[in-house]
Amino acid sequence: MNYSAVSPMLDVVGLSLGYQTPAGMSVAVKNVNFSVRRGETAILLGPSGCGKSTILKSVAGFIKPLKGTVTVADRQVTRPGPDRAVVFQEFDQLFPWRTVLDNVSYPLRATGKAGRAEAQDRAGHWLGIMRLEAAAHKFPHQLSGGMKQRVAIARALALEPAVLLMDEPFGALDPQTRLRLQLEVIEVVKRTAATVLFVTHSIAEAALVGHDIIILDGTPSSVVSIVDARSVGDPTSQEALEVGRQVARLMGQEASHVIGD
Amino acid sequence: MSLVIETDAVPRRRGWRSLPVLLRRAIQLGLVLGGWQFYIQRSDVSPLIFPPPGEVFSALWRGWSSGALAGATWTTLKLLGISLLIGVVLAFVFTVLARVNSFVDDAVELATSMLNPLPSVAMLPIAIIWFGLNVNSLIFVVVNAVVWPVTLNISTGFRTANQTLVNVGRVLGLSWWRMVTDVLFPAALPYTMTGLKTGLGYGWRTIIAAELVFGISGSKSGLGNYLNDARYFLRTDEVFAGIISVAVIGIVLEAGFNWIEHRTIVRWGMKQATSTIDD
Repeated sequence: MNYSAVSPMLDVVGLSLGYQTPAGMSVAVKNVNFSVRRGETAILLGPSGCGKSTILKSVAGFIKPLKGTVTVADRQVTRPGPDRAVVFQEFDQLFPWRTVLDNVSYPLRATGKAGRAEAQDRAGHWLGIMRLEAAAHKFPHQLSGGMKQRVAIARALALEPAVLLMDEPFGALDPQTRLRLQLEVIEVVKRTAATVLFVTHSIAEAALVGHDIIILDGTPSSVVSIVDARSVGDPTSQEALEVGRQVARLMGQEASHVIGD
Repeated sequence: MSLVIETDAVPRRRGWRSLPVLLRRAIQLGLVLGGWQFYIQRSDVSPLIFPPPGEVFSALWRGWSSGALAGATWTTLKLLGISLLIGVVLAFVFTVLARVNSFVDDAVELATSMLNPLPSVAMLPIAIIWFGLNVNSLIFVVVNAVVWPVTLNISTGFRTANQTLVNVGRVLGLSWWRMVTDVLFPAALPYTMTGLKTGLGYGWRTIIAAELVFGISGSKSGLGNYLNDARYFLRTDEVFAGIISVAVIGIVLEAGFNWIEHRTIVRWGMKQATSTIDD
């Protein structure tokens, strides 16, 4: 594999994950290997229940591996930490008792990255990048689902994590809002040179957002294939369609489903 | 021929509901007072048994302007405040300790399930044996009335706190104490407010009842004692004035809590402003 040519920001080696059941150990993910280069976006793609979110949770430090290691910026992951900020799928990941500005600035204070005044400034800066200035003093319950997710992204980016983890962040949004946010995230990730691990079950989203598409399947699941999507420029391009078809073939789906997803 | 199209999506209210709420309350109160006066005039009931509204209001006025009722109210409210504070601090300590240690968790759950259903006035005899006929006994029973419903609600709030928010806290590497103060406690606030309202209601009932018992035993001062003294001297108008004061203070305390809720959990969308659907 040529991924290790450059020292990767995120390195997953021989990762197996599972949970204890009364009948014994149930293995959900077996011997998964992949890595993500600095400034690139990797997609974990697979059908529902294939364990892609479990892998992300393990990278986040919520789940201890049965076997294998997760290394972020040359340090082995043992517990959750702000160097691996997470954007969850759930809209209720914002603190309802804090304003939008406060939701973004609080993590900076809580992690000791900035004092009160500086945290406010930096939060304001990230709200600007996500075009949320007008909502700065609103409370989360006053926002639409798409706006809440943008606040969550601003909050995660403000922590300047080594790896930004996104667990189907647009899974609960309507198609139009989803496309708008996908394009916005691509833009912001490019601008900030963030390293991203992005979980999705949508082939279209994978082809659009990712540099590498890591396809998972099987029970217990493992990496079926890794598709290079760097040639994809915009969602309507021929390359996007080509990558989508290739991924769909690898996932054993009809290529015609790709466009509608 | 013209076509009228209803563009107003909100159905127009008619009749009783269309009146402003204050007017509705005033009319209903007026009916009660009118009925009361009517009954007194038509029957030959002695004012010693059932005084007319006018006498009750003059007793209320006398009580509050002379300071007798105001003083009694102040004494009772002070005791209630102290007990509420102790009860809430204890409840918070119990809940936090229960989160740290599973033995404490079990113990708190056992104590809550045993003592929450117990009317805390039932603790008064043992309190008198332990502390004697003084305010400590009163505080003991009122703390007992407050601490269990509050503990029950805060710990339910902690248990049911949104797991995603807890995970956000874990990503930030919060210490367990910051997790409690910055995530769990605010997340549990709707439950805590319910617990406080319940605790306050229990406490208020308990303190009046306990003071009534103390009144019989000869100790003076609070609203319960005021009621009992008035009964002893057959000043029925003052008994009514005392009851009305107790009721009004209960309403004011409740309104105070609603005011706090509107500035916190309602403002944050963690609780709906009203539970009734007006049609």
